[in-house]
Amino acid sequence: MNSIGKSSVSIVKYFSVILLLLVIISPVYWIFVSSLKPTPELLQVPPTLIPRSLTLEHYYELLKDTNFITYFLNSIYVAMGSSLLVVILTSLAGYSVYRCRYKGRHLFFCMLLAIYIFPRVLLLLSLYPLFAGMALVDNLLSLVITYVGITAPLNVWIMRAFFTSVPTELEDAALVDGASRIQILFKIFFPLAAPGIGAVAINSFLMSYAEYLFASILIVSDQYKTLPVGMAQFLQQYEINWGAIAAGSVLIIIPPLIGFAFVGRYFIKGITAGAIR
Amino acid sequence: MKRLKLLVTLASLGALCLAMAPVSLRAETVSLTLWHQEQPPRRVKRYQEVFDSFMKEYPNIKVTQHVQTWGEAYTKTMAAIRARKAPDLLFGIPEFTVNIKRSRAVQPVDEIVELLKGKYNIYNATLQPYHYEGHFWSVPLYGMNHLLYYRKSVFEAGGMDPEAPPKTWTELLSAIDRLRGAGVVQYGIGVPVSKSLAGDQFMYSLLVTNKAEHLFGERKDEIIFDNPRTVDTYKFWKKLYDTAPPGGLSWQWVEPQLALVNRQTAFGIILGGFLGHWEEQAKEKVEDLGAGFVPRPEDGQPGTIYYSNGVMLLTKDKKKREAAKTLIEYLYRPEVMGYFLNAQPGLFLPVTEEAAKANSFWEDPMVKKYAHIIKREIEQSKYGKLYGFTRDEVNPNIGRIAGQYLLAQVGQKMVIDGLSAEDAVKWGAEKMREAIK
Amino acid sequence: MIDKVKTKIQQDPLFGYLLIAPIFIWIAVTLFYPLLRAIYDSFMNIEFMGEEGNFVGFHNYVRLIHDSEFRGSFIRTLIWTGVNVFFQVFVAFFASVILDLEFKGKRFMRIWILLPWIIPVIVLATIWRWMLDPSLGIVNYVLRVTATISSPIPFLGSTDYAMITAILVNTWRWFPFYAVMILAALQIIPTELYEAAKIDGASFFQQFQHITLPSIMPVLVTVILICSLWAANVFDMLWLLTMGGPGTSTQTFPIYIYQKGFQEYKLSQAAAAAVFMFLFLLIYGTIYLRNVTMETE
Repeated sequence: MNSIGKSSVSIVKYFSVILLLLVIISPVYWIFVSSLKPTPELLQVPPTLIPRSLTLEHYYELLKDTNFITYFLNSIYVAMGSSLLVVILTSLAGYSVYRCRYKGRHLFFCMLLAIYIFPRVLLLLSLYPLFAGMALVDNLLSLVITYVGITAPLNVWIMRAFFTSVPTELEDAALVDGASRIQILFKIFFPLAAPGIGAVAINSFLMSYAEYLFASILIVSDQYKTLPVGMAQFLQQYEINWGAIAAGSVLIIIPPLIGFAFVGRYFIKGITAGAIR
Repeated sequence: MKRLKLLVTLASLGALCLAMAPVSLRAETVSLTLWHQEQPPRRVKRYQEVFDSFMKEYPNIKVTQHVQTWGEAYTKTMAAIRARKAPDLLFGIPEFTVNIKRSRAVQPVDEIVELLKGKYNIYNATLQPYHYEGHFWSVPLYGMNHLLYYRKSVFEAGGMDPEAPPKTWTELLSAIDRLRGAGVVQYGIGVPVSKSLAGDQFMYSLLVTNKAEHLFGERKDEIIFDNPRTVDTYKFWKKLYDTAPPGGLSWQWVEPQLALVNRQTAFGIILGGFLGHWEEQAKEKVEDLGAGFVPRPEDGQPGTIYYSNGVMLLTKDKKKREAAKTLIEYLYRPEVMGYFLNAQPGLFLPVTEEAAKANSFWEDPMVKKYAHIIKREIEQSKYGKLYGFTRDEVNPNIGRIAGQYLLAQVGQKMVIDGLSAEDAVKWGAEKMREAIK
Repeated sequence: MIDKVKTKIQQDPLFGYLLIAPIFIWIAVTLFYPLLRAIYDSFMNIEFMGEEGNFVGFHNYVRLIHDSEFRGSFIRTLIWTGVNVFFQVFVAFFASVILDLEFKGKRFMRIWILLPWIIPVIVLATIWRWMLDPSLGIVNYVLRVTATISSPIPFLGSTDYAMITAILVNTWRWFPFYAVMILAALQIIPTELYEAAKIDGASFFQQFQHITLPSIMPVLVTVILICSLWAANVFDMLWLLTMGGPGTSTQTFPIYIYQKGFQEYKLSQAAAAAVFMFLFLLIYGTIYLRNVTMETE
């Protein structure tokens, strides 16, 4: 290819990349910038792309007037609890479904997926009395239990590709050497399947962190509210506090962003490994 | 040895009794849980202050408030009732009370109401929606209604008297024409017609002014929504809609307020919360805000939608009921109520004449500033009504009609499907009949 | 599919049962029980939550068939799902092709492409509603300033635009996830294949048709299945954006179910609709898997 051809390809390439970047970033830019605009500028028509003045008043007001830190800690607690349990349950189940043979294995796997399809909205109605019976209403544990249940089936499915892509030779060798099944499971298999397990953990964490519907119904007291529910208080009925909404949104986004900055690589590796078994 | 053992046992028993004594004293404290939907932090804070001073005066009663959003309110409450974890006290509007009452958890509050009626002049509009089946089911605490808002500077720019808002439907339409014609504003009035409470509220205020406030007939299972006056109201409504900015199909409370602030529209029929928005969010000047009664047709009546917010009693426990009565009595003291109402100045209106005169109410800085408008709001509130609650008896299925936002849906039928007012109203009436079957 | 996998370790079914027991119990309680409960409720005439009802057999299901709103939701769900899948797969594919290229910062992009997916839905909906607002929204502003349109479009407030707008927002949220999966498949394709084809004189499109597409087909198949099931079930995003409106223009099944149960207080009908949707998706999934597995084998 001549040099003109090469550079035009180059231009197209970089143009596409930048376009993609813009598409992904613009809403995040928007909310971030909005959170720093003073209220009268926020209400302006037409809106300003670049803020005319900056202020931290919304953040200040938010942190002062609401129990943001409490909500945040509750969300983290629930998200960590759920993802930990999901990892345990689904890795065990994953190994069982993909590596063991017994009657009903396939049936169970299909049932798992089938249940997942059921509209979540209605689950709410039956879960509440159940938790009430266990005295778990207004208790963050009820959210953990719910989220584990909701995300588990899909995560078993996600695990499929990772687990089946791990070569069996090592396990066979260990069996021959007389290792117990548990040893094989924990010392050999899980370390190899780590990317998949990691992907499941992150997936579960994000979902539990962001969930609103169940959290709004199962939790009553302010001290136990999770972030989405606590922040919904700013979506007032008769007026909207735009600045607070923007600042609140940014604050909600930051933890997953920071987290992802650390584990993002592994997550991608995980999904990637899974996609191409 | 035996004697020593005996002594030790006795001593421990004695210590145990002593230790338990404070417990039994503490047992006199009654604990009340109260759920409400006034989420904004300033309201929660103000309520807490009121409860704190109550608890100072009555140290043996403990009041704890919990906040939820209106979106969660019904499901959460019903779920809690089913799980036997219902709150003792629950704030709500009339339709909410009817729905919760189906669970048989709501207790009559006749004795509290009678007691308060004996002491104060309670506005009838606040009590009426809670009286049916021979009992009172909630004690009114605060009310909300509409006013017609406009910018005085817009009037001036259009050559109109800024102190003379339009009073009739014809006047409103001609004012809109005039202001649009003069190029002062692009649109006439913000019309929310989303399938939401805001949409219903707007419609209903118009219906009340045209004497079409009854959904139900004399018999509570009879729908009379499809009548000529209703049809005329929707015809007028459509005229207003035609002057409104686009996008009304997804508008709720915020957009009409913003449109007025941004000078897109000349008018807005809005709840009193607008004052807070005007003053604190938009940072506009009080001098520029004008407000009049909701315009009515020549042969109509003064009117507005009116939400009487009350507190329901869900507990059957005698001690708790006594404590609740004490709390409500405390809230009704004019100076307390004045302070309580200003959890949201301008939006929450007094339910008794005495509270309407309270210093604590008028001393609030916001209220002082907007006193002339708030006075008008209170005046207008006396002509307030609420759909489904205009008769002596209430249909228990009103919740289904309200939950579907049928008043707004009728408007949508006209705008989206192009139905005539007659056909749209007929459709609405049919849906209402279906809902109460 | 599972059977395709060669497993050498197979003895000791007890071990297998033990491992699977925890999740089984968990799901039985949190998913299975409510599902059965909902099926049970669908045969009753319960209206407000928490009330007792009477058995009415298939009455609710019959009512559904006659309910024009239900039929409308069904069609809308099909449209919603179909268009969502189409856009998401399409955009995901293009994004993955771009990400597969060599450029500065490609490692960064390949991770942060997931940005839309990480952000909690409630925040996403808030941001987009704001950005799409006719007055305050930046989208309308940009379109007007670039003279693309002359007056603001109420994206979420008009029956003409609401559905497509919601689909685009949902696509924006999900395409990165699928893009990463497709990218993985793309990266496996050995470059020698392309080079050989180029030497043979194959055009760009021929290369695509004969090398790229077949290589990513397995992943595409999985992606389409997951994508359709998830899209059909979307509730949060759609509810927060439009609440099913304006009118009924974005009322898909999940929204219909929510409205029937939580706004119109017709619980049993909502349950029947949910069961119907569940069965429909189940059948769809089964047929899809059968056909597709047979083809790729």
